[in-house]
Amino acid sequence: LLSITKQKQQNELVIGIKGTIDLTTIGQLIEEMEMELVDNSHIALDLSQVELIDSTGIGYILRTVLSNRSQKKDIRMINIPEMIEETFEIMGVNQILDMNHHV
Amino acid sequence: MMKLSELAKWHQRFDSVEAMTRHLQKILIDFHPIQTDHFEIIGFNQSSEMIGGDYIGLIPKHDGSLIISIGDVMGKGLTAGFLTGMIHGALSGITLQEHDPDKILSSLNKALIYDFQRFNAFATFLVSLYDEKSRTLSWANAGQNYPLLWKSETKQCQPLELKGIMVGVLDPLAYKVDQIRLEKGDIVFWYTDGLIELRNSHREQYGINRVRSIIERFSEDGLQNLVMHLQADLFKYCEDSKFSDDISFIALKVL
Repeated sequence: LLSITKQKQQNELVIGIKGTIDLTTIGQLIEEMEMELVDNSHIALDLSQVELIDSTGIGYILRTVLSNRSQKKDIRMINIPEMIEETFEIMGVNQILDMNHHV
Repeated sequence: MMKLSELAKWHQRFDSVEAMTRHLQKILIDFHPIQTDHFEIIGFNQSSEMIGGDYIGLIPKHDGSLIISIGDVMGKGLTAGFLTGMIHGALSGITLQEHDPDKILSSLNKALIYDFQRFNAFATFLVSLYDEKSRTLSWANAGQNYPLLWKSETKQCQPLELKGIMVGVLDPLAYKVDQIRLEKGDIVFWYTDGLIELRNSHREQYGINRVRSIIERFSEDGLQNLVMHLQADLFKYCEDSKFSDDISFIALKVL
């Protein structure tokens, strides 16, 4: 299971994630995010302690970010480890998030 | 407690569903190795479930060129298999008219976007076109890991870097295309992320370096032999237990 911590920093809730984000753990993370999105409009996912995120994990996070934008809820990813950043680059995750901002 | 007759019927039904699902997977991944006087191509696909979200496919064109596709639909199991079926159908239609990798990807994205958004899904996909007469390989990438090129001249692997956004998320999308000329003995190796993310009992990943070292070690022994060694090493690495993700790869050697 994922180890999840939460800390309010000014108007943003920082959700710290530790472990592997894949099909077996993504449900837990999305559930936490959905719960917090009820009362928070700004969420930062701190990925500094994420060992691995697979395509399923990336997909669910991406969909959650995009679907909440239309409801003026902002979710961003921070402290992304280099290896995960490389995967995001190859898959075009950052481009999708940037392009969607301008749609 | 369930009656034995009910249990027997349940087993019968489950067996037929399982058999049917396995059959669907076989139909979906219709990859047959090809060997001509000029090149050889072999594929490997193994799902972690009865049916998976990895896709590999070859489409020979009338002009002698070959469209080589590899992709990975988000998730695993039946839903991913269903979406893979949609990709297979869309790709078959698109390639009747189109053979430029970048245009195939743009059309594939357009064809899939509506349904993929309904499923909250996306897919990484890479389309290549190999022309055996000119030995040119062109390719466009929608978020797949970079293929590896083993050069017979340098005896080393290098990634064929080209980025692009995965399909099924945004529309319209335009893709870049790149092209290289291959030499005799060169090997191109495409793979899905399940290969390098395969984990052993210590939760260590198989990794790209292990793939590269196997290609570099066995590249001159024949393609079949290389693929066999890689498969054997994968099973050894996970101690013959079930793969945690779908794994696919395609290897092409210029003869």
